[in-house]
Amino acid sequence: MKRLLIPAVLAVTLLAGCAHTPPTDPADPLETVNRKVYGFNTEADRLVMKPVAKAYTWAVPALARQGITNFFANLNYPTVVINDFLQAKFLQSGQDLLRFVVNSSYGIGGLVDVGSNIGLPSHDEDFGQTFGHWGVGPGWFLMVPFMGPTDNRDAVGRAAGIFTTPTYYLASGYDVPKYSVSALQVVNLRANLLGTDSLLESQFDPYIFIRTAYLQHRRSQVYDGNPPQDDDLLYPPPEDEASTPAPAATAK
Amino acid sequence: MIKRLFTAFFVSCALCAVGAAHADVAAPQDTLKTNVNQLQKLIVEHHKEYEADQQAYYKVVDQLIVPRFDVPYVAQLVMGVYWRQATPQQRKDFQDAFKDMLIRSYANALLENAKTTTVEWLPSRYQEGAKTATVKTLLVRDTGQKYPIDFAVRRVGDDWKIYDIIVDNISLVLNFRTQIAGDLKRNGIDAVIAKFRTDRLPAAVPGAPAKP
Repeated sequence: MKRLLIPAVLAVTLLAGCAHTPPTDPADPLETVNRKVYGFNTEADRLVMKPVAKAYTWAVPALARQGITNFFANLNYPTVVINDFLQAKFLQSGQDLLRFVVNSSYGIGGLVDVGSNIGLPSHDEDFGQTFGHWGVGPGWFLMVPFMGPTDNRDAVGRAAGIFTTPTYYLASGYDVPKYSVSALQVVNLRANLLGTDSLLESQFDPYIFIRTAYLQHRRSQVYDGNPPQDDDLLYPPPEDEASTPAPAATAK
Repeated sequence: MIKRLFTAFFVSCALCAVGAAHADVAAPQDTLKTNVNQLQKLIVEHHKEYEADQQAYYKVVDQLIVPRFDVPYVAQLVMGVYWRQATPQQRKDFQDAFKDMLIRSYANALLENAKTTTVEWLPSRYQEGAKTATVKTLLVRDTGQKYPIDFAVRRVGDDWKIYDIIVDNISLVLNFRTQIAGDLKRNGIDAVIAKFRTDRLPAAVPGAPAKP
């Protein structure tokens, strides 16, 4: 337990300092470094991850890949159950526990998503969202080597999530299966992203695109898909004289 | 997360095709539905031709999809506070350049994904006589992945026009506004317009700051 004390104190300090900033104007004091890391990640991806993911897509049929995606979603599910509970969503926590049990057994270790077909839909909760639920802001935006975008709050959340992932508790003699599983997870994840590469490449400023999208997405997750929206800020009223020519040009 | 966003946006463009002008005001969902079916049919039927002749395909997209968008309003939203500083000519140039840039960036992705994706129309609240509405959809890929896409539409005359696409609660208008805000501040409106016009977007050096 003593071993955990220092990280725990560090985490609390870090979380307490997490400011609330909108996704459009986030705290990004490390932008210069973040951009360098982003450049590095992109290059590493181009040289290693992307070719590997392409080979994987070529070699493994779609149905098997779907099963693998399901398997990892299920492996992550204890984290969801725990965080439902930590956010005081007790009913959902119970349902998600049932879902985990059903998918792990009838779903053959999670390969088949039985739960979704019997009224136990998947939920998306993690420690970062739990912190957010109880009022912790995202803090600084961070770009981590090999891992991509995160922020102060979610970095602590991810670290906590390691301990709620079953593979963490594999005995030390099982290093090979443990790391193989992790490698497969990463490759599978990257393969699922292949269709999106050209879009990222064609952004005006890919770094800002990722940053805004990540923070907006996390904010939405914290509010379970219904973030409070300041519509006046997001959509100021149109200048109608500017909009009127459009319908005339359209009506053919 | 990013995967969801991207794939969804590709395909979401497919939803925005426009048909004939409408005589009376239909429910926004029906308006979009008609157009989506038209465009998807067109792409499936002419897939090979569009792939071979990019310019012709861009033209089809320009004629079919673009009119469904409220381009002037989108431009106003994306420029944010800089809209007011812009001259009428700059506003017009910005609209055109931004629109063309989007077509170049997204049309091909649309072509790739239109065949493998179906659209589920979710119940969308719409009040009779309302000026704005949100059309909710779910894009389902043949791999089973699902992407929630909302279209923010507003009444323009007796038609509905899209002014934002919200993918998994990520507003694309907001994202674009953030992407170009720094550039607008540092380099001015004309520089940004020029940047839009330089063929595809400058992603040759990924992660490079958008500084000059």
